[in-house]
Amino acid sequence: MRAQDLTFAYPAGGPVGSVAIAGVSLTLEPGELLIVAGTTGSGKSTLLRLLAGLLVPDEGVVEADGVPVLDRRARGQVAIVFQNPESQFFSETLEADVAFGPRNLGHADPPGVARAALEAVGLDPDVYGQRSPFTLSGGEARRAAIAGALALQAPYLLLDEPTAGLDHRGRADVIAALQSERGRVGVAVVTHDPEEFLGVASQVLLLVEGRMAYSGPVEALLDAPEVYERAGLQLPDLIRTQLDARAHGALVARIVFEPEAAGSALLAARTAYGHGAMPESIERVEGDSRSADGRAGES
Amino acid sequence: MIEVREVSLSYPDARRPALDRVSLTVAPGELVALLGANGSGKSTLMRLCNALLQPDSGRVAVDGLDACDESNLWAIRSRVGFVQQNPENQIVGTVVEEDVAFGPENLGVPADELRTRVDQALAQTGLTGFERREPHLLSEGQKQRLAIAGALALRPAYLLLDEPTAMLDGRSRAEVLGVLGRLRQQGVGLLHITHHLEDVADADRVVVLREGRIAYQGPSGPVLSDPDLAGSLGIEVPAMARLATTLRAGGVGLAQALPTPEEVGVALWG
Amino acid sequence: MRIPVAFGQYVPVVSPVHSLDPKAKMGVGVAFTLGVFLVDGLPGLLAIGVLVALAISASRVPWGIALRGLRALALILSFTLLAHTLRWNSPGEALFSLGPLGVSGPGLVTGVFFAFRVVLLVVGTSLLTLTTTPVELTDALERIMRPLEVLRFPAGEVAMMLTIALRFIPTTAQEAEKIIIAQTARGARFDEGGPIRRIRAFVPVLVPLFVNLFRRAEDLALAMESRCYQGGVGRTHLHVSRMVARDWATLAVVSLVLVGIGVAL
Repeated sequence: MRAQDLTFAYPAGGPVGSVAIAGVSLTLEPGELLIVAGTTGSGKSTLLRLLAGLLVPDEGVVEADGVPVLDRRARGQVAIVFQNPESQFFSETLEADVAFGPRNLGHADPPGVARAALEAVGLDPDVYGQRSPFTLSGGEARRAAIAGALALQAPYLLLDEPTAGLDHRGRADVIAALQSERGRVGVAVVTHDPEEFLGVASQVLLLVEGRMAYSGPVEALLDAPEVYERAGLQLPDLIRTQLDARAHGALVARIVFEPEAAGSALLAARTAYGHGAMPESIERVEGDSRSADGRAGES
Repeated sequence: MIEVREVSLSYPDARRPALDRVSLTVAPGELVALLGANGSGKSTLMRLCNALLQPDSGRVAVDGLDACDESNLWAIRSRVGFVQQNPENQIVGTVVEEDVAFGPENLGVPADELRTRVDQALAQTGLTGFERREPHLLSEGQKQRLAIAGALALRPAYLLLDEPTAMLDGRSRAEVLGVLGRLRQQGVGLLHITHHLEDVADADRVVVLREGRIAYQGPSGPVLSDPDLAGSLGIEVPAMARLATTLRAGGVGLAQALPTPEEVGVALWG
Repeated sequence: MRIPVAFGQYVPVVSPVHSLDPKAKMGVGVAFTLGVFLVDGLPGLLAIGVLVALAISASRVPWGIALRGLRALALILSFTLLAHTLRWNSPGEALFSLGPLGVSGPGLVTGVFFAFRVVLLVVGTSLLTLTTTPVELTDALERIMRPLEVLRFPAGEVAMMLTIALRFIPTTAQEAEKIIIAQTARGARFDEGGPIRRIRAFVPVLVPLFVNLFRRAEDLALAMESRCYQGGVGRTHLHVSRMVARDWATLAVVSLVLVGIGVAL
């Protein structure tokens, strides 16, 4: 999926808090997970709608596999999940609701596709299929709504704040579902709290007031945290701790997103740095801190 | 003081009691955090504190007023404010100041005092200047602060908050937590249901419910630094607390259970 | 997600009409409607029309906004006019004719009368909502309905229901639009097929909307109880509007003139 120099402004009377975007470009391949991050009012949701073909850009074009998304032929190429998607349920059974999308697109076997989609998000169709969508818990409902989009079998999946309002188990379940689907689709996630996605994303696009402030891999962004902060976002404490360690001259080769792993890495870096408690490394410390590269990379 | 003593409550057709001989107190100026899995009875317990629900057995009293006595109902509800998760569904008025005035209007407070209370509640929640704004033009954080202002207009001594930040983004969450912190300093007693332990790490007491019973009651430190305890309580430990535990196990002298990056930096690098 | 700006929505401007007590304005509105229906012919309507024009200019509401509602009525107005004016195969009355179709002179006058009456009613009554906020309107309605409480009519509660309904109109509209977009993104089409198909296409929008409305009502009831709502009796109001001499005078004079025109002309 490709977007080139997108520019868009709502005509007077746009939705509350909507923002124009200018000059935004991005690419998304199947297998990738792209985070679109920015504060409220940075244009993230607007961008998502443009990518889904729900808005017509003033300038620029969005294509999915070479076909402009605004074209009829692109129908079913891009699936989008909006905020609080559980409010779209209307059917008596979950299977029927998830099958709504494929049925509209004229699919040959909507129930079959629906069941597959429910499996993909970790909801056993034999258990959940005949249940009323209105009886699901918060996390289950969110995953079921995402299944509704997965059932469209589109190669590109866009999600607006998919983990908002869920407790930690719900969030973990959603991220797991997205990870499992990632293999065959390109996923773009809009979020204002990228914390939980930084560990699984391949690319980040930072928006500030409708313009791109950064576009590229996650690691490079973490090397330049000022960009992040200028975008009005705060890096998670765990990341900041590791970046601080680097600033102190300690070697933390790769920023890690898992607290225990980060702890081990910091302990190892601390040992190499010279404050270590292990007596046998004291003589080696002097030499090691000079030859920075190799050693502290082990964690 | 909100006093809940040995209350039990069962919903019709339920397998087990929603609450089973639970006791709890909230004193003025105290922050009591209430945690637990969904279905553990947190919301039920909270709704007993402002007499929205009646227990099957046990006693609930607010500043000495028995909540089971119907004649105390409005006195209790004007002492104990209540803020829910969804900001949208708590706003009644067509403009901000009308909504804030709703509570005291119900109590027949005269017009000039209504004005004072509205202005004060708006000031306490940082919404001065928004008097004539229509609710659908507010951000989610502003809406939730409006809901708090609406509760504050009753001049409550206690505030019940049922996951007040669950539907808010980071910035709005910080706004609301800031308001709550100031209220606590002003002497309001807070009972705060949340899934984010980091928001209530400085609570006077953390109460964890499991299947209708109290599984833990005490400071937040032990829960933050003992992953087994947290796991058995079904509580997610915040990332920085987990980091701290790992570092301590590696011999780092780190006092705080939930340190800031700066505090970790000092402990590691001096 | 456009917030629908209904015609007749409040225009925040300072004017003598805006500052009139809403109850007086409502009273004038009743007299106005009465006068318009009592009038026998065009001269009477024109006289009232002049008064409406004066009121609009006094209200400082831009004419474009004041007349905006007429656009939606264009179809009905044309139909009314044509229905009265055109005659089939009655050459006697015709001013001029095109085969069997004739334009009747008296018919034309009647057509203009009825059409203009609709115009006056719409523009005149919208002036009320253009110059009065929803809060003022519901408070005024409550005061007016208060005497009915003697007959056990729940004036306070009805006013509260109106307020809540008004408060949630923009919110519900926003939500409806979100749901429509979400279902569209799942391939739903709302513009295909015959009338029955099109109505059924809205089920995926109406069901979620209603489910949310019920949930909303429950949460709101809880919030209202927590904030000590005990019904309409004994409630005070942040803004109290009292009728003063100016209001009574305006109400009396304008009402008399309007009804007088209705009776006389």
